[in-house]
Order: sequence, then structure tokens, then C-alpha cells
Amino acid sequence: MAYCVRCGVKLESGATECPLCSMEVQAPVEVIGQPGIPLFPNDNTDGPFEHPKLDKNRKGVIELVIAFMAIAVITLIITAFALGASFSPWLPIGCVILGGSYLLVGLFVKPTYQHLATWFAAITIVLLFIIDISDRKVGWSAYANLSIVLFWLIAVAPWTVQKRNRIYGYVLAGIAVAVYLLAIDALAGNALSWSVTIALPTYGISLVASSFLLLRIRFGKPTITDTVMSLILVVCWGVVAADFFHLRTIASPRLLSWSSSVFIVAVCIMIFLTLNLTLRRVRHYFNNRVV
Amino acid sequence: MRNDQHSDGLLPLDNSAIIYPPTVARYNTHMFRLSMDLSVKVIPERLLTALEHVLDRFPYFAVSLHQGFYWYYFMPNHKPVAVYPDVAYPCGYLHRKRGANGYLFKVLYTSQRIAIEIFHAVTDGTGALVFLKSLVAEYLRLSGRQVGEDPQVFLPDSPMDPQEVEDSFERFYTPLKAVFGFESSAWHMPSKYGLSDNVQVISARMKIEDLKRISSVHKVTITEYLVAELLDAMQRIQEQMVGNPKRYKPVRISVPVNIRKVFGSRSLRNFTLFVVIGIDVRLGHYSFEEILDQVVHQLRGNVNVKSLSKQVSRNVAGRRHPAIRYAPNVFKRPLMKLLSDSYGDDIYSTTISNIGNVTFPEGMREVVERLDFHLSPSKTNKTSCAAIGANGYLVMNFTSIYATKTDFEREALTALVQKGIPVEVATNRNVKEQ
Ligand SMILES: [Zn+2]
Repeated sequence: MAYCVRCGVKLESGATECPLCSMEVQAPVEVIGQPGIPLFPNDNTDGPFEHPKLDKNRKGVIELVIAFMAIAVITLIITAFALGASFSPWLPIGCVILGGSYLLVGLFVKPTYQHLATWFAAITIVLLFIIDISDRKVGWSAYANLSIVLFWLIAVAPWTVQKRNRIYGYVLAGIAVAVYLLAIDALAGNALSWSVTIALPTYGISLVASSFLLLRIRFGKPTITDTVMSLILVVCWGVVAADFFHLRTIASPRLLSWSSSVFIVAVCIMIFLTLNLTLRRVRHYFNNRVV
Repeated sequence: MRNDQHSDGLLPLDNSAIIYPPTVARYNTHMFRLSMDLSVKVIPERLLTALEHVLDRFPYFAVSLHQGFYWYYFMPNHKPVAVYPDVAYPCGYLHRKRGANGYLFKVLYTSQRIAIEIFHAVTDGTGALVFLKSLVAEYLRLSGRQVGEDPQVFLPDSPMDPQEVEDSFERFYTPLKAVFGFESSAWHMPSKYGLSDNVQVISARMKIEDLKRISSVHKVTITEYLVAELLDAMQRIQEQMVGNPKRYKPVRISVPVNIRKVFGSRSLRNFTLFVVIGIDVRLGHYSFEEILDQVVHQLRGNVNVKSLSKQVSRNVAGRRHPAIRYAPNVFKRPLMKLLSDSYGDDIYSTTISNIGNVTFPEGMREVVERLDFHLSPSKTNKTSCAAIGANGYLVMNFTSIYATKTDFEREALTALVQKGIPVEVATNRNVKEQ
């Protein structure tokens, strides 16, 4: 029977480590002693050890949601019987079940952003589709669901892959936006129009503008001011590009219309950013460090 | 009486038991364990016979749990009872149907130990202790030993006192118009250190003599001294784990009090209340003497008929309230799960239950070497402490769902060592794998 030199407690016979601090016992075997029958068993090999899978609060919420869903469905069925053919319960029942599944998904699936967002997106698509199709033709839900898919591709998909492959996720998201613009245009009927002549070129310019910021974030250390200014710059270029390409589509002789002031702002910001990047004095003048 | 056993054998759960069945979940098993280490060899067949004899004397333990429309209830269980080898982690989940043939307790044995793990809805520590003592006494009698008389050892052929099965909460209920306040939430050790589905034990054994000596220096009882030690340890753990003093929360400890003596009850079902004792560490660090002051003041100030009656009435009034009484179980169940913490676990940081020194009759005293008492921890309060004394030793068992973290146990026990109390520790943790 040895003592732990750190905690000062006496250890049970045969113990080679202190259970309190995991310190290894430095003592001759005679002092440590032979391990006897363990005071407390800890064997789980004897058959499957059964225990509940969910903790208390989660289980409570799940039961409550299911109870309310069951009550709602029963009420709807009774109402349908009472009212006869004038009331079809199927749409509201579908909504109850889908609404309940929103809550249940949050409790059942792994509580990570990717899992939750994916499930919520999928359920929302089904829900919108069901509501839309109740008059037996697909209408507005196509636009909404396309947007949800786009959201998933931009905001969820890059985080489902491993970190070192994330760049492909970003590329995919970038392409997805372009495809989305084309698809929305196509859904509106007729041939592709505004998407090719205005939206895609504007999107391209915005991408190029933001890639400068991304490169700086990746390889340098832009300050908060830098980042905010760069973001404003990206927006400015986007606005200017939209105006520019719109004027080209309507074959206007003017180079820019209402966005010329934005263009001037963009140029000013560019000059500021360049100076800030190259001249230490400018950088110091605008510094705002506290420590 | 309302809560007497009905003619068909249906037995309603007692007032403090109704919270346990619906709140069983992962990390909350509501099982507790009492074990006796003997100097004689335990023969399973003989133990089973002893159990069958004793169980006839304790019909209110030979029950199974069922779910009704409004409440859970007990029914007599006539299925064969069994004894099980004590191999698994203590206080594990017991499935109410498959776990032990419908019984809500398990009698376990090793070559030299008889243990009982029992679902808290059936009884509390005192009830289980009487059952275990009667079981071991019967086992020794079957082994041909003479066992003397003891108020806590019931003979299998003695008549059952109807008071044993009563729900004393109902008997001592007086309709009071008292204000039942909520407590704010206490500090809890965080989950981020990794939890285990098996209850991990660190057991500390010390001489009662040493504890008596040190607590008499402070003019307090052993329980009060241990409560103060644990509060102090919890205070230090919070200081270590929470960096910013602005985020400190009160540290409180729940002390179950056996109120049979206070009210004069002979019930062997649940009749325990919890006194929550705490220090508000947001006001600054408490020295050990200040803590001890608070403990004595709060514990003695709360253990009297008036204060306890208030809690009894709260328990009973809650159950009798029409909105609760007539709500279907499908709603009560989830709501109890969600609300139980704000009345229970959430308002304290840990628990210490001290059964006290257990005495044995002639013939049993020489055979019983050691007693252990284990509480199940919970998801909110990851470590609990249970103490029991016998043969001049007090054993404190820390049960925890922390897979590896033992800081609280270490903090509490090293404090005892530093004050000159020799402590002997044992564990079921796989220390090597850490
Ligand atoms: Zn140690």
C-alpha cells in the first residue's frame, strides 16, 4: 500500500497510479502490494450494457413535440369526419408533421451546423413543394426551392468537406451562383435574357473585385478598416458594373448613368487602399490600436 | 387511508417518488446502491433463498412499475426474483421491465459482498438499509449463525406494520398558504471535459475518530464538517474552471435529510427531504470558517418541523393541484423532464448524502467488514457524494459521470489530508487508460 506523493492519500493495494491525480507510484513492489479483488467492479463485457440514449431535457422536448403533434393530428381527423367532404385534412396534417419534424430534427440529428442546415433545407423544400402542389401544379415553389438549394451550396456545402479541400467547396459555391442566375431567368419563361447580358457580367466583375480582398486575407493581414473598405469597394464595383451592362443592353450611348458618383467613390477608396498598403505614414495615421 | 395498498394491490408512488420514473434518462438513472463486504463467503443459491424469504416481509419492494393514464403506479410483482453477480459499474440504468425481471432493484453478490441497487422511486437510503440489513441477517441465519435483535433487522415471519408502506408525505401534509420561492441556479461543473455512460467511483475511507476529533474542534457534527469541506472544494473548483469572477455563480450543496425522526414516521418508502446549503461566492471568497458558519446556520435553521412541513406541503400540494392531477401522463412526463431541474438539480452544484454510522446486532457485527453507499450522479451535477459509517470507518463514495476529470474529488480529499485526516482511496476508474 503506497501513498500518492502529490495528494497524500493512501492507495489501495496493487494500485500503480493515484486515482485522483494520475501520478504514477514510485515505490518498490513490496510497498505497492498485490492487486486484490477490486473494490469496485467495472466490467461491461457481460452482455450489452443497456442505457438510455438521450439525456433528460432532449428526451423531454421530443416527447412534448410528439404529444402535441399527435393531438393536432387527432383533432384534424375528428374535424374532417365532422365536416365531411367540405374539409380535407391532408394538407394541414402534412404541415403539422413537417412542422413537428423541424423541431424533432433539431433534437435527433447531430447538433452541428452542417447537419441541421441540411435537414432544415430538405424539409423546407418538401414543405414548400407540398403546399404548392395542392392545386396540382408547380408554381412559385420552384423559385423558392432554387434559392434554398443555392443557399445550401453556398453556405453549407463548403463546410461538409474537409478543411484542406474547402477551396473546391468555394469554387462550387461560386459556380452555383452563376447557375442560379441562369436558372431563375430560364424559369421566368422564354429565352435567357437579362441573366446573360447583365447579371453574369456583373457577377463576374464582383468576383474579380472580391478576389483581391480574398488574396489579401489569405496572404496578408488586412486591418478591420482595410477589410471594411475593401468590402465597400466590391459593392461599388458591382453597382457600377450593373449600371454599365444595363446601359449596354439598352444600347445607350452613355458610359454610366446614375452610378457615376458611385464610380468616383470607388476610385477614391482604391486610392486610399493603395496608399494605405504602400505608405507607412498613412497606415500609422489611420491606426486605431488600443494595446 | 388513501394511500394504503388497494385491494387489487395497486400502490401509488409516494409523493417524492413521482418525479423519478419520468426523469430517467441518459446520465440520470436515479439508482442508488448499498453494499456490505463480509468476512464470510457468499453463496449465491443461499443468498437467493434469503432474498425470497425477506421479500415476503417487504411486499412494497416486490413491485413493478407501470404507466397509467395519469400517473405511474406500482403493482405487486410475482415473477421469480434473482441475484446477480456484481460485475458492472455501479448505479447503472435498470430497465423497468427487462432489467431485473420487472423488479426495481437488483441484489448483487461477489465472493464476499452483498449489494443492493435500487430505483429511488421505491425507497430512500433508510428503507434500502433496513432491507439490506434484513437480507444479510437472513443470509447469516441460513448459514447457521445466530443474529441478535436490531430495530433495523426485520425477521421474515414478523408481521408487517401497515405504517411501513404509508406515504408519510400525505400523512404529515397540512394545507399551508406559504410562498414557495424559486432559487436561482447554482454553478455546475461543465460538460466539456467528456462524460461517460458508466458511473465512475472514487472511494475514500477515513477513521470516524479522526473526523470526530476535527469536527469537535469546530464544534460541529461530522456531516456539517463534510458539507463545509465539499462546499469549499466546489468553491475552489469554480475559481479554477471559471476565469472571470464576474461569471461566478453561487455554490450550493444538497443535503438529503431523513425526516422520519423529525416527524415520527416508520415508513420505509421515500421520506427524505433536501436541504440546500450554499454560499454566494459572487460576494467574494469564503474562508473555511465562514463556510462552516453558513453550513451550521443553514442546516440547523432548516431541519425543524416548521421548515420541513413547508417542503412536505409543497410536494403534496403540487401533486394535488387539479391542473397537475388531471393532466394526462403523456404531458406530465415531458414537462417533468423539463421542469425537474429548476426545482432540483439546477439549484445546487452537488449532493452529499450521509446515512451516518450504522450499527449491527450481535452475530452480524463480527461479519460485516465494510459498508458502501453510492448515489447516481446526474447530467447537471456530474459528481455526487455518499457517505456511510460502520466499524469505526466512514466511507465517502464520489460517483461521477466524468470520464476522466477528478478535480473535485481531489480538491475535497486533499483538503482532508492537509488537515491531518489520513484518507485511503480506491477506484473503479481505468486509471491506466487516462
Ligand atoms: Zn495523487
